[in-house]
Amino acid sequence: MKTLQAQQVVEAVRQLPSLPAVVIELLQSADKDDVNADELANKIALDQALAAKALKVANSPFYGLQSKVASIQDATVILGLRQIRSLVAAAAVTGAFAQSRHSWFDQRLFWQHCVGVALCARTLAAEAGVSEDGAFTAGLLHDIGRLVLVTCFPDEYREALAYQKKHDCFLLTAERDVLGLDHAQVGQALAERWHFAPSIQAAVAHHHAPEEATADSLAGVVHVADVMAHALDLCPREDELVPPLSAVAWNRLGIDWGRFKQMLATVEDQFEDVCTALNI
Amino acid sequence: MSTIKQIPLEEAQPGMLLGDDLRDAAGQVLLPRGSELAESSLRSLARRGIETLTIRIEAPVDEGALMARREASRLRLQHLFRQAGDPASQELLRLMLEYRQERPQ
Repeated sequence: MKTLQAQQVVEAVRQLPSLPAVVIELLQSADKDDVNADELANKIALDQALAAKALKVANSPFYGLQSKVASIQDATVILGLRQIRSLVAAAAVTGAFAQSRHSWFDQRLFWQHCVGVALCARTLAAEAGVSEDGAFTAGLLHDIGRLVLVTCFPDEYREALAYQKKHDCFLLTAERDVLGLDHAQVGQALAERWHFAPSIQAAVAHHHAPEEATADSLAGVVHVADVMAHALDLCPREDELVPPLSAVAWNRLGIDWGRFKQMLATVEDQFEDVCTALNI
Repeated sequence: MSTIKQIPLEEAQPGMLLGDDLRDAAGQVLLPRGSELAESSLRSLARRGIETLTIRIEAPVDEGALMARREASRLRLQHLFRQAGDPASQELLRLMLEYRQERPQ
Protein backbone atom coordinates (compact mmCIF):
# COMPACT_ATOMS: atom_id res chain seq x y z
CA MET A 1 0.00 0.00 0.00
CA LYS A 2 1.20 3.50 -0.81
CA THR A 3 2.05 5.68 2.13
CA LEU A 4 0.05 8.83 2.84
CA GLN A 5 1.34 12.18 1.67
CA ALA A 6 1.32 15.16 4.00
CA GLN A 7 -0.75 17.05 1.43
CA GLN A 8 -3.47 14.33 1.55
CA VAL A 9 -3.66 14.73 5.31
CA VAL A 10 -3.93 18.51 5.11
CA GLU A 11 -6.71 18.10 2.55
CA ALA A 12 -8.54 15.57 4.73
CA VAL A 13 -8.30 17.79 7.79
CA ARG A 14 -9.74 20.67 5.77
CA GLN A 15 -12.74 18.50 4.92
CA LEU A 16 -13.55 17.83 8.56
CA PRO A 17 -16.34 19.95 10.03
CA SER A 18 -15.12 23.08 11.77
CA LEU A 19 -15.92 23.57 15.43
CA PRO A 20 -18.47 26.10 16.68
CA ALA A 21 -16.87 29.51 17.19
CA VAL A 22 -17.35 29.39 20.94
CA VAL A 23 -15.54 26.06 21.19
CA ILE A 24 -12.62 27.44 19.22
CA GLU A 25 -12.52 30.32 21.67
CA LEU A 26 -12.56 27.88 24.59
CA LEU A 27 -9.71 25.88 23.11
CA GLN A 28 -7.67 28.98 22.38
CA SER A 29 -7.88 30.09 25.98
CA ALA A 30 -7.83 26.63 27.55
CA ASP A 31 -4.45 27.23 29.19
CA LYS A 32 -5.26 30.73 30.49
CA ASP A 33 -6.79 31.34 33.87
CA ASP A 34 -7.76 34.99 33.36
CA VAL A 35 -10.91 34.78 31.25
CA ASN A 36 -14.16 36.64 31.70
CA ALA A 37 -16.54 34.04 33.16
CA ASP A 38 -19.80 35.84 32.45
CA GLU A 39 -18.90 36.60 28.89
CA LEU A 40 -17.90 33.03 28.20
CA ALA A 41 -20.99 31.60 29.92
CA ASN A 42 -23.20 33.82 27.78
CA LYS A 43 -21.50 32.62 24.63
CA ILE A 44 -21.82 28.97 25.59
CA ALA A 45 -25.48 29.50 26.41
CA LEU A 46 -26.09 30.79 22.87
CA ASP A 47 -25.14 27.43 21.38
CA GLN A 48 -28.04 25.29 22.53
CA ALA A 49 -26.64 21.91 21.64
CA LEU A 50 -23.41 22.71 23.43
CA ALA A 51 -25.17 24.18 26.46
CA ALA A 52 -27.33 21.06 26.73
CA LYS A 53 -24.26 18.84 26.71
CA ALA A 54 -22.53 20.91 29.35
CA LEU A 55 -25.59 20.88 31.60
CA LYS A 56 -25.94 17.13 31.27
CA VAL A 57 -22.39 16.74 32.52
CA ALA A 58 -22.87 19.31 35.29
CA ASN A 59 -25.95 17.42 36.48
CA SER A 60 -24.31 13.98 36.39
CA PRO A 61 -23.90 12.19 39.73
CA PHE A 62 -20.13 12.78 39.61
CA TYR A 63 -20.61 16.34 40.83
CA GLY A 64 -23.15 15.27 43.43
CA LEU A 65 -25.08 18.53 43.34
CA GLN A 66 -28.14 18.79 45.59
CA SER A 67 -30.38 20.44 43.03
CA LYS A 68 -30.43 20.48 39.26
CA VAL A 69 -28.42 23.12 37.44
CA ALA A 70 -30.69 24.74 34.88
CA SER A 71 -28.47 27.24 33.12
CA ILE A 72 -24.87 27.60 32.02
CA GLN A 73 -24.64 30.75 34.12
CA ASP A 74 -25.61 28.74 37.22
CA ALA A 75 -23.24 25.97 36.27
CA THR A 76 -20.29 28.35 36.03
CA VAL A 77 -21.14 29.75 39.43
CA ILE A 78 -21.52 26.36 41.07
CA LEU A 79 -18.78 24.37 39.37
CA GLY A 80 -16.50 27.23 38.45
CA LEU A 81 -15.76 28.48 34.99
CA ARG A 82 -12.61 26.45 34.68
CA GLN A 83 -14.44 23.17 35.13
CA ILE A 84 -17.15 24.17 32.69
CA ARG A 85 -14.60 25.20 30.12
CA SER A 86 -12.90 21.79 30.12
CA LEU A 87 -16.26 20.03 30.05
CA VAL A 88 -17.71 22.03 27.19
CA ALA A 89 -14.56 21.67 25.13
CA ALA A 90 -14.57 17.93 25.80
CA ALA A 91 -18.21 17.54 24.89
CA ALA A 92 -17.78 19.55 21.69
CA VAL A 93 -14.70 17.75 20.46
CA THR A 94 -15.90 14.24 21.26
CA GLY A 95 -19.13 15.16 19.48
CA ALA A 96 -17.36 16.50 16.37
CA PHE A 97 -16.43 13.03 15.19
CA ALA A 98 -19.20 10.68 14.14
CA GLN A 99 -19.35 7.36 15.98
CA SER A 100 -16.96 4.95 14.34
CA ARG A 101 -18.70 2.32 12.27
CA HIS A 102 -15.59 0.17 12.14
CA SER A 103 -15.56 -3.03 14.15
CA TRP A 104 -11.76 -2.86 14.36
CA PHE A 105 -11.70 0.54 16.07
CA ASP A 106 -13.32 0.88 19.48
CA GLN A 107 -14.08 4.58 19.76
CA ARG A 108 -15.32 4.29 23.34
CA LEU A 109 -12.04 2.73 24.43
CA PHE A 110 -10.24 5.46 22.54
CA TRP A 111 -12.01 8.24 24.49
CA GLN A 112 -11.63 6.37 27.76
CA HIS A 113 -7.89 6.38 27.24
CA CYS A 114 -8.03 10.12 26.48
CA VAL A 115 -9.98 10.76 29.70
CA GLY A 116 -7.38 8.73 31.60
CA VAL A 117 -4.57 10.83 30.13
CA ALA A 118 -6.52 14.04 30.83
CA LEU A 119 -6.89 13.07 34.49
CA CYS A 120 -3.23 12.11 34.80
CA ALA A 121 -2.23 15.36 33.09
CA ARG A 122 -4.37 17.45 35.43
CA THR A 123 -2.91 15.73 38.49
CA LEU A 124 0.66 16.16 37.22
CA ALA A 125 -0.01 19.81 36.32
CA ALA A 126 -1.28 20.59 39.81
CA GLU A 127 1.92 19.17 41.25
CA ALA A 128 4.21 20.84 38.73
CA GLY A 129 2.48 24.20 38.95
CA VAL A 130 1.26 24.51 35.35
CA SER A 131 -2.27 25.17 34.07
CA GLU A 132 -4.49 22.30 35.23
CA ASP A 133 -7.27 23.05 32.75
CA GLY A 134 -4.85 23.36 29.89
CA ALA A 135 -3.31 20.03 30.87
CA PHE A 136 -6.73 18.35 31.13
CA THR A 137 -7.80 19.61 27.71
CA ALA A 138 -4.45 18.73 26.15
CA GLY A 139 -4.66 15.23 27.60
CA LEU A 140 -8.14 14.78 26.26
CA LEU A 141 -7.09 15.83 22.76
CA HIS A 142 -3.58 14.40 22.57
CA ASP A 143 -4.46 11.47 20.29
CA ILE A 144 -6.92 13.37 18.11
CA GLY A 145 -4.77 12.54 15.07
CA ARG A 146 -5.74 8.88 15.45
CA LEU A 147 -9.37 9.84 15.07
CA VAL A 148 -8.58 11.79 11.90
CA LEU A 149 -6.79 8.75 10.47
CA VAL A 150 -9.65 6.38 11.35
CA THR A 151 -12.22 8.78 9.92
CA CYS A 152 -10.42 9.88 6.75
CA PHE A 153 -8.16 6.93 5.91
CA PRO A 154 -9.89 3.85 7.36
CA ASP A 155 -8.34 1.26 5.02
CA GLU A 156 -4.81 2.52 5.56
CA TYR A 157 -5.27 2.84 9.29
CA ARG A 158 -6.72 -0.61 9.64
CA GLU A 159 -3.59 -1.94 8.00
CA ALA A 160 -1.41 -0.02 10.45
CA LEU A 161 -3.30 -1.57 13.36
CA ALA A 162 -2.91 -5.05 11.88
CA TYR A 163 0.83 -4.39 11.45
CA GLN A 164 1.09 -3.33 15.09
CA LYS A 165 -0.61 -6.53 16.22
CA LYS A 166 1.57 -8.69 14.03
CA HIS A 167 4.86 -7.12 15.12
CA ASP A 168 3.87 -6.31 18.72
CA CYS A 169 5.37 -2.86 18.25
CA PHE A 170 4.39 0.63 19.37
CA LEU A 171 1.49 2.20 17.49
CA LEU A 172 3.76 5.05 16.45
CA THR A 173 6.18 2.61 14.79
CA ALA A 174 3.35 0.82 12.99
CA GLU A 175 1.93 4.10 11.71
CA ARG A 176 5.30 5.29 10.42
CA ASP A 177 6.10 1.94 8.78
CA VAL A 178 2.73 1.56 7.08
CA LEU A 179 1.51 5.13 6.54
CA GLY A 180 4.79 7.01 6.36
CA LEU A 181 3.57 9.42 9.02
CA ASP A 182 2.13 9.19 12.53
CA HIS A 183 -0.88 10.35 14.53
CA ALA A 184 1.12 13.10 16.23
CA GLN A 185 1.82 14.77 12.88
CA VAL A 186 -1.78 14.38 11.78
CA GLY A 187 -3.00 15.69 15.12
CA GLN A 188 -0.78 18.72 14.73
CA ALA A 189 -2.44 19.54 11.41
CA LEU A 190 -5.88 19.39 13.05
CA ALA A 191 -4.75 21.31 16.14
CA GLU A 192 -3.59 24.14 13.88
CA ARG A 193 -6.77 24.07 11.84
CA TRP A 194 -8.93 24.13 14.97
CA HIS A 195 -6.82 26.86 16.57
CA PHE A 196 -5.96 25.08 19.81
CA ALA A 197 -3.89 27.15 22.24
CA PRO A 198 -0.17 26.95 21.29
CA SER A 199 0.81 24.94 24.38
CA ILE A 200 -1.92 22.40 23.52
CA GLN A 201 -0.84 22.25 19.88
CA ALA A 202 2.67 21.41 21.10
CA ALA A 203 1.26 18.66 23.33
CA VAL A 204 -0.63 17.08 20.44
CA ALA A 205 2.41 17.33 18.14
CA HIS A 206 5.14 16.24 20.57
CA HIS A 207 3.60 13.97 23.19
CA HIS A 208 5.76 11.13 21.89
CA ALA A 209 8.90 13.29 21.61
CA PRO A 210 8.58 15.85 24.42
CA GLU A 211 12.27 16.75 24.26
CA GLU A 212 11.50 18.42 20.91
CA ALA A 213 9.06 20.81 22.56
CA THR A 214 9.93 23.72 24.81
CA ALA A 215 9.63 23.23 28.56
CA ASP A 216 6.75 25.72 28.82
CA SER A 217 4.50 23.73 26.47
CA LEU A 218 2.24 20.98 27.77
CA ALA A 219 4.03 18.29 25.72
CA GLY A 220 6.03 17.01 28.69
CA VAL A 221 3.02 16.84 31.01
CA VAL A 222 0.94 15.00 28.42
CA HIS A 223 3.81 12.66 27.58
CA VAL A 224 4.22 11.57 31.19
CA ALA A 225 0.43 11.45 31.60
CA ASP A 226 0.15 9.13 28.59
CA VAL A 227 2.79 6.77 29.99
CA MET A 228 1.10 6.94 33.40
CA ALA A 229 -2.35 6.07 31.97
CA HIS A 230 -0.91 3.10 30.08
CA ALA A 231 1.02 1.93 33.15
CA LEU A 232 -2.16 2.10 35.25
CA ASP A 233 -3.81 -0.13 32.64
CA LEU A 234 -6.93 2.07 32.72
CA CYS A 235 -8.25 0.65 29.44
CA PRO A 236 -7.04 -2.94 29.49
CA ARG A 237 -6.31 -4.49 26.12
CA GLU A 238 -4.59 -7.75 25.45
CA ASP A 239 -1.80 -6.10 23.43
CA GLU A 240 -1.49 -3.05 25.72
CA LEU A 241 2.03 -1.61 25.72
CA VAL A 242 3.51 1.14 27.91
CA PRO A 243 5.37 3.66 25.73
CA PRO A 244 8.93 4.52 26.77
CA LEU A 245 9.18 7.28 29.39
CA SER A 246 11.26 10.28 28.35
CA ALA A 247 13.78 11.08 31.07
CA VAL A 248 13.88 14.68 29.81
CA ALA A 249 10.12 15.13 30.29
CA TRP A 250 10.20 13.40 33.66
CA ASN A 251 13.05 15.55 34.97
CA ARG A 252 11.42 18.74 33.71
CA LEU A 253 8.33 18.00 35.82
CA GLY A 254 10.46 17.51 38.92
CA ILE A 255 8.03 15.21 40.71
CA ASP A 256 9.47 12.71 43.16
CA TRP A 257 8.60 9.04 42.90
CA GLY A 258 6.96 8.88 46.32
CA ARG A 259 4.56 11.68 45.45
CA PHE A 260 3.96 10.11 42.06
CA LYS A 261 2.68 6.95 43.74
CA GLN A 262 0.00 8.95 45.56
CA MET A 263 -0.98 10.53 42.26
CA LEU A 264 -1.47 7.09 40.72
CA ALA A 265 -4.02 6.30 43.42
CA THR A 266 -5.79 9.65 42.93
CA VAL A 267 -6.25 9.00 39.23
CA GLU A 268 -7.32 5.41 39.72
CA ASP A 269 -10.00 6.50 42.19
CA GLN A 270 -11.43 9.19 39.87
CA PHE A 271 -11.25 7.51 36.51
CA GLU A 272 -14.57 5.66 36.32
CA ASP A 273 -16.59 8.52 37.78
CA VAL A 274 -15.18 11.00 35.30
CA CYS A 275 -15.87 8.66 32.36
CA THR A 276 -19.45 8.35 33.56
CA ALA A 277 -19.77 12.11 34.03
CA LEU A 278 -18.52 12.76 30.50
CA ASN A 279 -20.79 10.03 29.19
CA ILE A 280 -17.86 8.12 27.74
CA MET B 1 -16.32 -5.83 52.93
CA SER B 2 -17.91 -5.29 56.32
CA THR B 3 -21.15 -6.00 58.13
CA ILE B 4 -23.04 -3.85 60.62
CA LYS B 5 -24.36 -5.58 63.74
CA GLN B 6 -26.09 -4.68 67.04
CA ILE B 7 -24.49 -6.10 70.16
CA PRO B 8 -25.12 -5.70 73.89
CA LEU B 9 -22.57 -3.43 75.59
CA GLU B 10 -21.16 -6.28 77.68
CA GLU B 11 -20.10 -8.10 74.51
CA ALA B 12 -18.22 -5.06 73.18
CA GLN B 13 -14.44 -5.35 73.11
CA PRO B 14 -11.80 -2.65 72.89
CA GLY B 15 -10.68 -2.21 69.30
CA MET B 16 -14.13 -2.75 67.77
CA LEU B 17 -15.35 -0.07 65.34
CA LEU B 18 -18.67 1.76 65.64
CA GLY B 19 -20.95 1.08 62.66
CA ASP B 20 -23.10 4.16 63.35
CA ASP B 21 -23.08 7.34 65.42
CA LEU B 22 -23.62 6.45 69.07
CA ARG B 23 -26.16 8.81 70.69
CA ASP B 24 -27.49 9.20 74.18
CA ALA B 25 -31.22 9.35 75.00
CA ALA B 26 -31.26 13.07 74.13
CA GLY B 27 -29.85 12.42 70.67
CA GLN B 28 -26.45 13.86 71.50
CA VAL B 29 -23.61 12.12 69.65
CA LEU B 30 -21.32 10.46 72.17
CA LEU B 31 -19.03 8.79 69.66
CA PRO B 32 -19.10 9.23 65.88
CA ARG B 33 -19.42 6.39 63.42
CA GLY B 34 -16.11 4.70 62.72
CA SER B 35 -14.68 5.36 66.20
CA GLU B 36 -12.54 2.65 67.67
CA LEU B 37 -13.80 1.57 71.07
CA ALA B 38 -11.31 1.96 73.94
CA GLU B 39 -11.40 0.32 77.34
CA SER B 40 -12.07 3.74 78.93
CA SER B 41 -14.91 4.66 76.56
CA LEU B 42 -16.64 1.31 77.23
CA ARG B 43 -16.63 2.07 80.98
CA SER B 44 -17.91 5.57 80.31
CA LEU B 45 -20.72 4.25 78.08
CA ALA B 46 -21.80 1.85 80.83
CA ARG B 47 -22.03 4.78 83.27
CA ARG B 48 -24.19 6.69 80.78
CA GLY B 49 -26.65 3.81 80.62
CA ILE B 50 -25.88 2.65 77.07
CA GLU B 51 -27.07 -0.95 76.63
CA THR B 52 -26.50 -1.77 72.96
CA LEU B 53 -23.93 -0.73 70.38
CA THR B 54 -23.91 -0.82 66.58
CA ILE B 55 -20.56 -2.13 65.48
CA ARG B 56 -18.92 -2.77 62.16
CA ILE B 57 -17.25 -6.10 61.59
CA GLU B 58 -14.64 -6.23 58.86
CA ALA B 59 -14.69 -9.43 56.87
CA PRO B 60 -11.39 -11.24 57.28
CA VAL B 61 -9.00 -10.48 54.44
CA ASP B 62 -8.67 -13.48 52.20
CA GLU B 63 -4.86 -13.76 52.20
CA GLY B 64 -4.80 -16.36 49.44
CA ALA B 65 -6.92 -14.27 47.10
CA LEU B 66 -4.85 -11.17 47.83
CA MET B 67 -1.62 -13.01 47.03
CA ALA B 68 -3.13 -14.23 43.78
CA ARG B 69 -4.17 -10.70 42.78
CA ARG B 70 -0.73 -9.35 43.58
CA GLU B 71 0.89 -12.04 41.47
CA ALA B 72 -1.52 -11.40 38.57
CA SER B 73 -0.79 -7.65 38.81
CA ARG B 74 2.95 -8.32 38.78
CA LEU B 75 2.69 -10.47 35.65
CA ARG B 76 0.44 -7.92 33.98
CA LEU B 77 2.98 -5.14 34.62
CA GLN B 78 5.80 -7.25 33.19
CA HIS B 79 3.63 -7.70 30.11
CA LEU B 80 2.76 -3.99 29.83
CA PHE B 81 6.42 -2.97 30.10
CA ARG B 82 7.70 -5.70 27.78
CA GLN B 83 9.19 -3.15 25.34
CA ALA B 84 10.40 -0.59 27.86
CA GLY B 85 14.11 -1.28 28.36
CA ASP B 86 15.38 2.27 28.92
CA PRO B 87 16.44 3.33 32.45
CA ALA B 88 13.58 5.82 33.01
CA SER B 89 10.95 3.22 32.06
CA GLN B 90 12.65 0.60 34.22
CA GLU B 91 12.50 2.98 37.17
CA LEU B 92 8.81 3.51 36.47
CA LEU B 93 8.25 -0.25 36.28
CA ARG B 94 9.95 -0.69 39.65
CA LEU B 95 7.62 1.91 41.15
CA MET B 96 4.53 0.41 39.52
CA LEU B 97 5.44 -3.02 40.94
CA GLU B 98 5.66 -1.46 44.38
CA TYR B 99 2.36 0.37 43.87
CA ARG B 100 0.56 -2.79 42.75
CA GLN B 101 1.74 -4.66 45.82
CA GLU B 102 -0.27 -2.16 47.84
CA ARG B 103 -3.12 -1.76 45.35
CA PRO B 104 -3.40 -4.86 43.18
CA GLN B 105 -5.66 -4.58 40.15
